[in-house]
Amino acid sequence: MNKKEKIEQEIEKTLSCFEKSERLEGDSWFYNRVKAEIDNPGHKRFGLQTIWPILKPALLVLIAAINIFTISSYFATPETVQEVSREQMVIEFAKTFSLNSNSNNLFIFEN
Amino acid sequence: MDNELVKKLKAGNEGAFQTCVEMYKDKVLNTCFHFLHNHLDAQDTAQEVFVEVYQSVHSFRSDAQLSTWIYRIAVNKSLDLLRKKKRKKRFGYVLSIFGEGEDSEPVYIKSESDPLQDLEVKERTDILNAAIDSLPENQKTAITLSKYDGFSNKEIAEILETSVSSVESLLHRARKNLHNKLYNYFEKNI
Repeated sequence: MNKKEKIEQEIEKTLSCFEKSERLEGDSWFYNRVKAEIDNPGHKRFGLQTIWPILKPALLVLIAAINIFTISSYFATPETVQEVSREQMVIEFAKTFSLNSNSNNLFIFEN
Repeated sequence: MDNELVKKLKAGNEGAFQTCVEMYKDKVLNTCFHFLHNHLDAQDTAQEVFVEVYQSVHSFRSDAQLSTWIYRIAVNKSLDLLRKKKRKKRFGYVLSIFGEGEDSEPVYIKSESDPLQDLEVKERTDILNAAIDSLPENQKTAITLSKYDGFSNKEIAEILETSVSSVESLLHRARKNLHNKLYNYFEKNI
């Protein structure tokens, strides 16, 4: 038997599973469950599944906001710190050497 | 008999509805199962089918057969669930973090025959179902209704609201594609 014939045989065996397919039978409580669903629509959907459709976009927005905040603060922090420290440094320097903002030491505040 | 039942259903007769459920539940359940390949999903979908039958029977046109209308709802509900599951798969990873979206494993009922033979049938059925699932939706629907549920081409045409010749063409293409897919599979796995 060559490969092609073997494959055809396998296909035939597989297609025969259509006839061997499992048959289900509805249990005796089937009607009661349908009736309960009609009388109390949506009683099954309780819990996280109920709020999940609302929660999902909210969660995505929250994750996006956290990311944006993290990225912006990561890039913003060194510059701000540098600016503040530079300004503070000048003030501290002026205080240490008791410098007043008169014409003799104005050069410090330039630049 | 159908007309009488429809009249009673439209009048909101509970006894008629119970008769209707008892008459069609097995066939509806199996139709759903053959699309979904999962007992629990099939049970839930079959229930939803009858809820819809109850709620929209007033819009049912009496020129069609009640059974055909019910099976049409079953097919549409099953396909809707499959589409929903496909969409859900895209969020599978995120959902799994939250412990949601994990499909329950299909339950296989043990028969009293040879376990080895059962295993072989199960494996082949899985291969066959995977091949059917990869077919275009209309071909998949036609071949499932024809081969698994044993509907005639005329019945399938009524369920899908199309012509018999379209169903024949769909089935022809489905068989051809299915054969090609299985051929490719066994070519790699033999």
